[in-house]
Amino acid sequence: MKTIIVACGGGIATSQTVAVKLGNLLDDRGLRGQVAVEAININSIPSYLDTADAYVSIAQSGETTYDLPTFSGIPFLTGMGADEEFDKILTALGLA
Amino acid sequence: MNATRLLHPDFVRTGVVASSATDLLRSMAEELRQRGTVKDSFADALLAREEKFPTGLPTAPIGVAIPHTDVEHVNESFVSVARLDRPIAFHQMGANEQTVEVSLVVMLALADSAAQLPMLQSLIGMFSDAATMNALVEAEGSRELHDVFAATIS
Repeated sequence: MKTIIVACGGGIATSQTVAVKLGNLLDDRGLRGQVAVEAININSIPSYLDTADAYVSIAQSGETTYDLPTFSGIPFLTGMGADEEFDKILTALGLA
Repeated sequence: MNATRLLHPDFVRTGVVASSATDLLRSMAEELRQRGTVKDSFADALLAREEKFPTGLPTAPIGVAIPHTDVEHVNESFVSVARLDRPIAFHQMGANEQTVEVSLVVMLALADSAAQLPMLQSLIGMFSDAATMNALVEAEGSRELHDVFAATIS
Protein backbone atom coordinates (compact mmCIF):
# COMPACT_ATOMS: atom_id res chain seq x y z
CA MET A 1 0.00 0.00 0.00
CA LYS A 2 1.32 3.40 -1.04
CA THR A 3 0.34 6.59 0.76
CA ILE A 4 -0.20 10.04 -0.70
CA ILE A 5 -0.49 12.94 1.73
CA VAL A 6 -2.28 16.13 0.74
CA ALA A 7 -1.68 19.26 2.81
CA CYS A 8 -3.09 22.76 2.84
CA GLY A 9 -2.82 25.59 5.33
CA GLY A 10 -5.75 24.75 7.52
CA GLY A 11 -6.59 21.24 6.45
CA ILE A 12 -10.09 22.72 6.23
CA ALA A 13 -11.25 22.76 2.71
CA THR A 14 -8.84 22.42 -0.10
CA SER A 15 -6.71 19.48 1.01
CA GLN A 16 -9.83 17.40 1.66
CA THR A 17 -11.23 18.34 -1.72
CA VAL A 18 -8.02 17.39 -3.50
CA ALA A 19 -7.85 14.13 -1.55
CA VAL A 20 -11.33 13.16 -2.74
CA LYS A 21 -10.43 14.10 -6.30
CA LEU A 22 -7.30 11.93 -6.12
CA GLY A 23 -9.41 9.08 -4.74
CA ASN A 24 -11.76 9.37 -7.70
CA LEU A 25 -8.86 9.36 -10.15
CA LEU A 26 -7.46 6.27 -8.42
CA ASP A 27 -10.86 4.62 -8.77
CA ASP A 28 -10.87 5.45 -12.48
CA ARG A 29 -7.56 3.64 -12.91
CA GLY A 30 -8.56 0.73 -10.69
CA LEU A 31 -5.80 1.61 -8.22
CA ARG A 32 -7.86 2.56 -5.19
CA GLY A 33 -6.89 -0.57 -3.31
CA GLN A 34 -3.19 0.14 -3.73
CA VAL A 35 -3.02 3.76 -2.62
CA ALA A 36 -4.23 5.53 0.50
CA VAL A 37 -4.82 9.29 0.34
CA GLU A 38 -4.75 11.37 3.50
CA ALA A 39 -5.60 15.06 3.85
CA ILE A 40 -3.55 16.63 6.62
CA ASN A 41 -2.63 20.00 8.08
CA ILE A 42 0.63 21.37 6.74
CA ASN A 43 2.12 21.39 10.24
CA SER A 44 1.63 17.62 10.47
CA ILE A 45 3.85 16.78 7.51
CA PRO A 46 6.95 15.85 9.54
CA SER A 47 5.07 13.06 11.30
CA TYR A 48 4.16 11.52 7.93
CA LEU A 49 7.63 11.57 6.36
CA ASP A 50 8.36 7.94 7.28
CA THR A 51 5.12 6.53 5.94
CA ALA A 52 4.15 8.72 2.97
CA ASP A 53 5.31 8.00 -0.57
CA ALA A 54 4.23 11.24 -2.20
CA TYR A 55 3.23 14.73 -1.07
CA VAL A 56 0.65 16.79 -2.90
CA SER A 57 1.07 20.40 -1.84
CA ILE A 58 -1.53 23.15 -1.88
CA ALA A 59 -0.09 25.63 0.58
CA GLN A 60 3.33 27.02 0.03
CA SER A 61 5.41 26.14 3.06
CA GLY A 62 8.12 28.76 2.70
CA GLU A 63 11.66 27.48 2.70
CA THR A 64 10.78 24.06 4.02
CA THR A 65 11.27 21.17 1.67
CA TYR A 66 10.69 17.55 2.45
CA ASP A 67 12.45 14.40 1.39
CA LEU A 68 9.39 13.21 -0.50
CA PRO A 69 8.38 13.37 -4.15
CA THR A 70 6.28 16.56 -4.17
CA PHE A 71 3.51 17.53 -6.57
CA SER A 72 1.16 20.43 -7.05
CA GLY A 73 -2.41 20.11 -5.84
CA ILE A 74 -3.60 23.11 -7.83
CA PRO A 75 -4.37 21.16 -11.05
CA PHE A 76 -6.83 19.06 -9.05
CA LEU A 77 -8.67 22.23 -8.00
CA THR A 78 -8.69 23.95 -11.38
CA GLY A 79 -9.03 20.82 -13.52
CA MET A 80 -6.30 22.07 -15.80
CA GLY A 81 -3.37 19.68 -16.10
CA ALA A 82 -4.90 17.28 -13.59
CA ASP A 83 -4.35 14.14 -15.66
CA GLU A 84 -0.73 15.09 -16.36
CA GLU A 85 0.02 15.77 -12.69
CA PHE A 86 -1.75 12.55 -11.69
CA ASP A 87 0.39 10.59 -14.15
CA LYS A 88 3.51 12.07 -12.59
CA ILE A 89 2.32 10.98 -9.15
CA LEU A 90 1.66 7.45 -10.39
CA THR A 91 5.11 7.33 -11.95
CA ALA A 92 6.69 8.37 -8.67
CA LEU A 93 4.72 5.63 -6.88
CA GLY A 94 5.83 3.05 -9.46
CA LEU A 95 2.24 2.51 -10.56
CA ALA A 96 2.28 4.11 -13.99
CA MET B 1 -27.97 22.07 5.90
CA ASN B 2 -29.05 22.83 2.37
CA ALA B 3 -27.96 25.27 -0.26
CA THR B 4 -30.82 27.66 0.26
CA ARG B 5 -29.54 28.35 3.76
CA LEU B 6 -25.93 28.68 2.69
CA LEU B 7 -26.78 31.11 -0.07
CA HIS B 8 -28.94 34.19 -0.13
CA PRO B 9 -29.75 36.21 -3.26
CA ASP B 10 -28.66 39.40 -1.48
CA PHE B 11 -25.20 37.90 -1.06
CA VAL B 12 -24.67 36.83 -4.66
CA ARG B 13 -23.72 39.91 -6.63
CA THR B 14 -22.68 40.73 -10.17
CA GLY B 15 -21.05 43.89 -11.50
CA VAL B 16 -19.11 44.37 -8.28
CA VAL B 17 -16.41 47.04 -8.44
CA ALA B 18 -13.31 46.79 -6.26
CA SER B 19 -9.96 48.53 -6.25
CA SER B 20 -8.04 45.71 -4.58
CA ALA B 21 -8.45 42.25 -3.15
CA THR B 22 -8.03 43.60 0.37
CA ASP B 23 -10.74 46.24 -0.07
CA LEU B 24 -13.14 43.70 -1.53
CA LEU B 25 -12.51 41.11 1.17
CA ARG B 26 -12.93 43.73 3.92
CA SER B 27 -16.21 44.89 2.44
CA MET B 28 -17.59 41.37 1.94
CA ALA B 29 -16.50 40.39 5.46
CA GLU B 30 -18.12 43.50 6.93
CA GLU B 31 -21.43 42.64 5.28
CA LEU B 32 -21.26 39.16 6.78
CA ARG B 33 -20.50 40.68 10.18
CA GLN B 34 -23.54 42.97 9.93
CA ARG B 35 -25.65 39.95 9.01
CA GLY B 36 -24.45 38.21 12.18
CA THR B 37 -22.92 35.40 10.16
CA VAL B 38 -19.38 36.00 11.38
CA LYS B 39 -17.67 37.39 14.45
CA ASP B 40 -15.87 40.73 14.70
CA SER B 41 -12.57 38.88 14.36
CA PHE B 42 -13.48 37.36 10.98
CA ALA B 43 -12.20 40.09 8.65
CA ASP B 44 -8.74 40.35 10.19
CA ALA B 45 -8.41 36.57 10.48
CA LEU B 46 -9.48 36.09 6.87
CA LEU B 47 -7.04 38.70 5.57
CA ALA B 48 -4.20 37.24 7.63
CA ARG B 49 -4.92 33.79 6.28
CA GLU B 50 -5.20 35.07 2.74
CA GLU B 51 -1.75 36.59 3.07
CA LYS B 52 -0.18 33.40 4.38
CA PHE B 53 -2.24 30.91 2.37
CA PRO B 54 -3.66 32.76 -0.63
CA THR B 55 -6.73 31.37 -2.37
CA GLY B 56 -6.56 32.62 -5.97
CA LEU B 57 -7.10 29.79 -8.46
CA PRO B 58 -6.02 30.08 -12.11
CA THR B 59 -9.24 28.60 -13.44
CA ALA B 60 -10.60 29.16 -16.95
CA PRO B 61 -12.09 31.24 -18.44
CA ILE B 62 -12.00 33.44 -15.32
CA GLY B 63 -9.92 33.26 -12.17
CA VAL B 64 -11.65 32.36 -8.91
CA ALA B 65 -10.72 33.04 -5.28
CA ILE B 66 -12.13 31.16 -2.30
CA PRO B 67 -11.13 33.21 0.77
CA HIS B 68 -11.93 31.51 4.07
CA THR B 69 -10.63 31.23 7.61
CA ASP B 70 -10.88 29.16 10.75
CA VAL B 71 -14.24 28.09 12.18
CA GLU B 72 -13.72 29.96 15.46
CA HIS B 73 -14.44 33.28 13.68
CA VAL B 74 -17.76 32.11 12.24
CA ASN B 75 -21.24 31.95 13.80
CA GLU B 76 -23.10 30.29 10.96
CA SER B 77 -21.94 28.66 7.73
CA PHE B 78 -22.63 30.79 4.70
CA VAL B 79 -21.33 31.52 1.21
CA SER B 80 -21.03 35.04 -0.21
CA VAL B 81 -20.35 35.57 -3.90
CA ALA B 82 -19.09 38.61 -5.82
CA ARG B 83 -18.58 38.61 -9.58
CA LEU B 84 -16.46 41.47 -10.85
CA ASP B 85 -16.66 43.18 -14.22
CA ARG B 86 -12.98 44.02 -14.01
CA PRO B 87 -10.75 41.39 -12.44
CA ILE B 88 -8.48 42.14 -9.51
CA ALA B 89 -5.20 40.47 -8.59
CA PHE B 90 -5.12 37.79 -5.91
CA HIS B 91 -2.10 35.81 -4.90
CA GLN B 92 -2.22 32.26 -6.15
CA MET B 93 -2.88 29.30 -3.93
CA GLY B 94 0.26 27.22 -3.45
CA ALA B 95 2.43 29.77 -5.27
CA ASN B 96 2.31 32.89 -3.13
CA GLU B 97 4.66 34.92 -5.32
CA GLN B 98 2.38 34.57 -8.35
CA THR B 99 -0.81 36.49 -8.88
CA VAL B 100 -3.95 35.49 -10.70
CA GLU B 101 -6.57 37.86 -12.15
CA VAL B 102 -9.77 37.00 -10.31
CA SER B 103 -13.30 37.80 -11.51
CA LEU B 104 -15.26 35.59 -9.12
CA VAL B 105 -14.79 35.73 -5.36
CA VAL B 106 -16.53 33.06 -3.28
CA MET B 107 -16.12 33.88 0.39
CA LEU B 108 -16.65 30.85 2.61
CA ALA B 109 -17.84 31.30 6.16
CA LEU B 110 -17.40 27.82 7.63
CA ALA B 111 -18.71 27.12 11.11
CA ASP B 112 -18.06 23.39 10.98
CA SER B 113 -15.75 22.30 8.21
CA ALA B 114 -16.34 18.56 8.62
CA ALA B 115 -20.09 18.96 8.22
CA GLN B 116 -19.59 21.26 5.26
CA LEU B 117 -17.15 19.01 3.44
CA PRO B 118 -19.55 17.60 0.83
CA MET B 119 -20.75 21.13 0.07
CA LEU B 120 -17.18 22.36 -0.22
CA GLN B 121 -16.28 19.56 -2.57
CA SER B 122 -19.26 20.34 -4.79
CA LEU B 123 -18.45 24.04 -4.68
CA ILE B 124 -14.77 23.68 -5.48
CA GLY B 125 -15.68 21.03 -8.05
CA MET B 126 -17.64 23.70 -9.94
CA PHE B 127 -14.43 25.50 -10.78
CA SER B 128 -12.88 22.56 -12.63
CA ASP B 129 -16.01 21.94 -14.71
CA ALA B 130 -15.98 23.86 -17.99
CA ALA B 131 -19.77 23.92 -18.45
CA THR B 132 -20.36 25.23 -14.95
CA MET B 133 -17.63 27.84 -15.30
CA ASN B 134 -19.26 29.07 -18.50
CA ALA B 135 -22.61 29.27 -16.72
CA LEU B 136 -20.98 31.32 -13.95
CA VAL B 137 -19.52 33.71 -16.52
CA GLU B 138 -22.66 34.00 -18.63
CA ALA B 139 -25.26 34.29 -15.87
CA GLU B 140 -26.99 37.61 -16.33
CA GLY B 141 -27.51 39.36 -13.06
CA SER B 142 -27.43 38.28 -9.46
CA ARG B 143 -30.47 36.04 -9.56
CA GLU B 144 -29.16 33.89 -12.40
CA LEU B 145 -25.76 33.66 -10.78
CA HIS B 146 -27.38 32.65 -7.50
CA ASP B 147 -29.33 29.94 -9.29
CA VAL B 148 -26.17 28.45 -10.84
CA PHE B 149 -24.63 28.13 -7.38
CA ALA B 150 -27.86 26.90 -5.80
CA ALA B 151 -28.20 24.17 -8.44
CA THR B 152 -24.74 22.85 -7.67
CA ILE B 153 -24.20 23.08 -3.94
CA SER B 154 -27.43 21.52 -2.79
